[in-house]
Amino acid sequence: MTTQSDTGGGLFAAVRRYRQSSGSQVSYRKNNLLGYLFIAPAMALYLTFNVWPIFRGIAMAFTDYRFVYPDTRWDFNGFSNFVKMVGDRRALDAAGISLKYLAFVAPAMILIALALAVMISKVKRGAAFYRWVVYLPAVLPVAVIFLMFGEMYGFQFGFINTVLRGWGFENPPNWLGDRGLALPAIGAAHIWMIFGFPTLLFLIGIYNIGAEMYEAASLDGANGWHQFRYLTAPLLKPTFALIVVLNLPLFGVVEPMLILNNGGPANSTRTLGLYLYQQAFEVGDLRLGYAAAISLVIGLFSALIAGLIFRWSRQD
Amino acid sequence: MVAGNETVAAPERLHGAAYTRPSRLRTLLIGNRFRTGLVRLIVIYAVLIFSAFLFLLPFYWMVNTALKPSNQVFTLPPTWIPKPVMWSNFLTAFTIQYETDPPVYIYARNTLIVTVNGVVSTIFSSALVAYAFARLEFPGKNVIFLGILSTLMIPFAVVMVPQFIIWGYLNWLDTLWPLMIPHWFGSAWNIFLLRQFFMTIPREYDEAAYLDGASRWHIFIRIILPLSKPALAAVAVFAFVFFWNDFLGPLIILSKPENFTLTLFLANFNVAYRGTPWHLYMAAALIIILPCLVLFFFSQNAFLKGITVTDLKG
Repeated sequence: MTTQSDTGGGLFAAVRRYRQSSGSQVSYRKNNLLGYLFIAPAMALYLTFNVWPIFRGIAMAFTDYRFVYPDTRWDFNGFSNFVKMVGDRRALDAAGISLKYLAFVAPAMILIALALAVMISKVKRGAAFYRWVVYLPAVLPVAVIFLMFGEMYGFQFGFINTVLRGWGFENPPNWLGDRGLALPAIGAAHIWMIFGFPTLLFLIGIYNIGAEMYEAASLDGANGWHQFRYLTAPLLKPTFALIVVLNLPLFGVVEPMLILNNGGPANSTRTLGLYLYQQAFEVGDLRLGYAAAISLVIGLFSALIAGLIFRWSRQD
Repeated sequence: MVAGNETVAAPERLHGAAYTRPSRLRTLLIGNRFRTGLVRLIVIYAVLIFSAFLFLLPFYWMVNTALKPSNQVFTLPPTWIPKPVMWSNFLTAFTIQYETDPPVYIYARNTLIVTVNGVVSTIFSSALVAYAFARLEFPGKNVIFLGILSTLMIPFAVVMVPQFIIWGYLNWLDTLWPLMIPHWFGSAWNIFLLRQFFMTIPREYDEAAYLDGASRWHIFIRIILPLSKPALAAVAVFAFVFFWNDFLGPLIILSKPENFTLTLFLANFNVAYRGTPWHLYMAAALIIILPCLVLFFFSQNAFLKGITVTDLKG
């Protein structure tokens, strides 16, 4: 942005003179607690509704709080929630399913987004339309998307199976009713829902690299793959890290399973987030204490991954 | 190659006798360093068009279902073009009412309240906080900023339970307040986005205004905000889409039908009608998503100009 200050004319020149005459920039920059004033109202809400719940949740994870018995609110029981979790077959299964889901959905989505972004950046005509197409699913309500996919995946009358039968497949799969297929099917729908935003972020990253850089690389004899490997990829590193961090909540995913088949069939799609939701809001006495312990595990795992990504993005 | 100019070596001489000059046609098809070849471009367009078709298929199916008469929704083989086209489905979807449930405009009103409040509060608060982080110096700034950023990656499931308890304490369960008040904090993602954008605005603008006697507040209102229109528009779209579509939040908090938002109305469609009438459901869904589609179509440029990703560092 230095070019702007150089060509900025009288005003910027005046600022420079002022800086020189006053010896430094201190008199302008020196601060003051004004910053606190700007963030204070927001911070008050933030502390109340975001930070406090986290600490309250940590405390709750060590209690046997059941919502229908308010007296149990502060019944501390040490680590017994965590001990219970280790012995809880359903919780362990759910954790495995969540891990599988994260390990499948996130990389697949990022690869698709990157490939699309590179391709869109190469074309001029239709790019605006394509950006719109890609982002369309992201503006739909989750409830609509998954109810719609629930219908499309339907065994007897679903859109996909009717098309498959029309093409001659006599026994199309029961997408959501098959233990092995349900999770990938939900994952595919989920990818369709969320891949648009990463694609846009990658695309913005590539546009920002600028045509000159690519021209310079071409003059040095870099072919398409080399340009991607040595120019696009390294410069997209911050974007990549951001996308991973933004998608970490996939580990605590609840909504698709909740809407599509509530964890079925045979609990093969019951993620840790859904298990937590069921413990907190569906099981008889609303076991908030145990649910909080589960959410603490989810939070710690997400923080760990984020920390690793953060460290990696700072390396050169 | 300019004829007769001896100082420029012809490629034949540089590359030896085996070199034959690429023909025009070859350059056109394969391309060279400076232009993408036609073959490559055709492949790219083919992939893009095919995948666009794939991505749009669910939409096509939605529109197709929404326009069918009820007795054709599940016919085999499926009809690709509804005949007759039932435009009246759109009206029916919003006028039939199940037993004691409130009419649809109540849900629409609730969604509108939550969304308008959400957009206004998110823009105002996020911009204010982002300005402080982009331009002002105060002790603990980086720590606080990192703290805010870290809430980006915490799944909603983590704070869901304790927040639910807070709503209970405040007697806010089954009201719209929990969907409105907390957002006056702004949102971590939008604060991050705006801070990134503000930092690309040359500081000389601030300083010039400061010399003219403008206060920090004036600099924020008169200089930073007007220069940040694309970023603010992007934030507005994000906020609109988020609040318009929010599902899990309302699901946990709201229980009386007259407090429901449109997304809950949709999710309850099959309960209310004892088995979903898909043509009506899709008609309702299409109308409900329409504002988001239109909004995004017209705000694309703001997205491309307003989002700057430089670094995650504080």
